[in-house]
Amino acid sequence: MGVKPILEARNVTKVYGHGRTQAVAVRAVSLRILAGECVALMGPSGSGKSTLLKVLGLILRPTEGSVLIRGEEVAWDEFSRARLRNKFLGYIDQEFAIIENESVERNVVIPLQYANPRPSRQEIWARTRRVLKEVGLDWALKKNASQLSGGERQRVAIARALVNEPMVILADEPTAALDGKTVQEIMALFLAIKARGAAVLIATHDDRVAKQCDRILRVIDGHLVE
Amino acid sequence: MIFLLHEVWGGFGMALRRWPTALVFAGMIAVASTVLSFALVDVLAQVAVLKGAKELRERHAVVFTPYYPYGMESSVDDHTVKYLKDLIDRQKAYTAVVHNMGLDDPNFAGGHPTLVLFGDIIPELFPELKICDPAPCAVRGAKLTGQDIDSVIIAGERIPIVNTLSPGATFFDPGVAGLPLDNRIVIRAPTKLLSLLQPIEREEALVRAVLLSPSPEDVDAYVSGCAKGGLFLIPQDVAVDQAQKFRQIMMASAMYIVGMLGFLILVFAAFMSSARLTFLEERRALKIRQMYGATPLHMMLRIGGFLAAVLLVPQGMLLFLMWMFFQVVDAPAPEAALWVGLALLFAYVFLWIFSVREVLSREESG
Repeated sequence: MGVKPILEARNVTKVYGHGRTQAVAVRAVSLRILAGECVALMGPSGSGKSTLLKVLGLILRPTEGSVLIRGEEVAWDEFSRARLRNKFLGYIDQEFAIIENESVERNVVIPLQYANPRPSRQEIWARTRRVLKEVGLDWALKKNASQLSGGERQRVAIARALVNEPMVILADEPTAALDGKTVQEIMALFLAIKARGAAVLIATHDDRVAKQCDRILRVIDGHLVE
Repeated sequence: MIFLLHEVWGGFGMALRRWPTALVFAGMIAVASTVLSFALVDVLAQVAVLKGAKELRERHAVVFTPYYPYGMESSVDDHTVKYLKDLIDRQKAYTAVVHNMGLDDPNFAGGHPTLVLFGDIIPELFPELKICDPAPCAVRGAKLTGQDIDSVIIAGERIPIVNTLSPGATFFDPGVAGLPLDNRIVIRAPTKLLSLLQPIEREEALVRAVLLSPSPEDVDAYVSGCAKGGLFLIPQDVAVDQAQKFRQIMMASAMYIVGMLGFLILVFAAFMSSARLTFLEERRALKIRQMYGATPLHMMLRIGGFLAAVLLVPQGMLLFLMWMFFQVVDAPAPEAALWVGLALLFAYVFLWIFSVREVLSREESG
C-alpha cells in the first residue's frame, strides 16, 4: 500500500478563453505530492507551470480533471475552495507577495482573519510573532511592508503562508529577482518547512532552487514530464 | 458576526487610506444631494399647494393683485368693504388677513403670527385643513400645542381657540401659494368685524379677497369700488392663471430637477470610475485576501464598507441634518431630504452590485 498523497491532480486540463482565442495552458496533468517532500516545477516561460500551480492552489478552476486534498476531491464552489485554501494551503505569489500600504503584521495576519474557527486575539498575536521570528522578521512587526527589501518582502509572504500551519506550501517563482545569498536564505526557510512535515511545491526557473528539492517536474507546453 | 463587521471596517479602512479622493467625491455628492433636496422641497411644496387650489380653479375663483401708482396714497372705501361683506355672507367670496393684523398690538394673539379668515365657505373649499366651525372660532398650529393662549380678541370680540391643527397644515393663499400654519393661530372671524378692522387690516382684506364664480359685473363693481378709495386691483382668474402657473412651475421644476439629476449622474459616473480605479489599485490586497480564504461574501462586505464610507455615511449624516433643519425652519416639504436619501441608497446598492461583480469576475480570470 503506497503513501497517501497530500495533494493530487488527476488529468487536470486548463483552457483559457473560447473559440478562436482559446489557449490550452495545462494538458491532462496528473501528479501526487506527498507530505514532507519538496517538489520543483520547472519549465520555460508560458509552459503552464504557474497555471498548474494556481489550479493546485485552488485559485483557478480546472476545465477538466480533479484535484484531491488528502484523498478527497475538491468541490469547486467558491465557499468550499476558500475554506480549503485557508485550512490546507499556503500560496506564495511573486506578483502578490505583500500589500504595500499595510504593516508587516497586518500582511501576515490575513489567513488568521479568515480561519474557522477564528483564533482569539491573543493567539493571533502570538502566532504572528512566532512566524515572523521564524522568518527572521520579528523586528519588522509594525513596519510598513513597502519599506522592506525584496528578500524581506518574500519572507513576509512566506510568514503569511505559514501562519495558518498549512499542509502544503505552493510558491510561484519565490526567488525571482533575488540575489544568491537571499535565495539561499529563502530556500533554507522552505527546507525547514519541509522538515516539519509540510509539502513544498515550487515553480521556478532557478536550477539552484530546483536542485535542493527532492523531485523536479518539468512542464513543457502544458504537459508534465518527470 | 464579528468577521462580517471586520470586513465592513476593512472597507472603511480602504476609503480612509484614500481620504483625499474619498473626501472630494463625498463633497461633490453632498453638494448635489443638498441642492437636489432644496429643489425638491420647493417643487413638492408648490405641487401640493397647487393641488390644493383645485377647488378654487373649479369655481373659477377670481383673485386680485394690488397696483400702487407712484405718489398716490391708498385708502379703503367703506362701501366696498360692505360690498365684500355681502359677497362673503352670500358665500360668493372669502378673504384673509395674513400680515397686517394687530400691528399696533405686540401682544395680539400672544405674539404669535395669525391668519384671520372671513367666510363660511372656507371649510367647504379646504376640507383637508379641518378648520373649526362655526365662526367665530380659532385653532392653533400644531407647534403651538401647550401654549397657554385660549382666545384672541379682535375689535373687542373675544374669539375662543377651540382646537389644534394637524402637523404640516398649509393654507393655499393665491398670493404666496403655500402658507404653513404650524406656528400660526388661525382665526375664523365673523364678517361683522370686517368694517371694524384697522384701515391697514381692511386694505389687506380687500386685496386678499377671493370671489367665487363671480359675474364680470361683480368683478367690475369690486375693482371700481376699490379704485374709488385709491386701491387699484388687477383681477386674475385662478382657473386660467393658476393652471398656467402650474404648468410653468412644473416645467421650471422639471428642468431644474433634470439638470440636478444630470449633475448627480455625472458625479456618480466620476465616482464609479474612481471607485473602479481604487479597486484596481487594491487588486493586490483583494487577491491576497482571496488566496488566503476570503469568500465572495467577505469581498462583498469589504467593497460595501468602502462604498458606504464614501457614499452613504457622510451623505446620510448630511441629509439627516438637512431633514432636521427643514423641520426646524418649517419647510413645506421636509421629507425631500429623505427622498434624496432614498435615491442615494438605491445608487449605493447599484454601485455595490456593479463593483462586486466587476472585482469578482476580474479575480476569477486570474
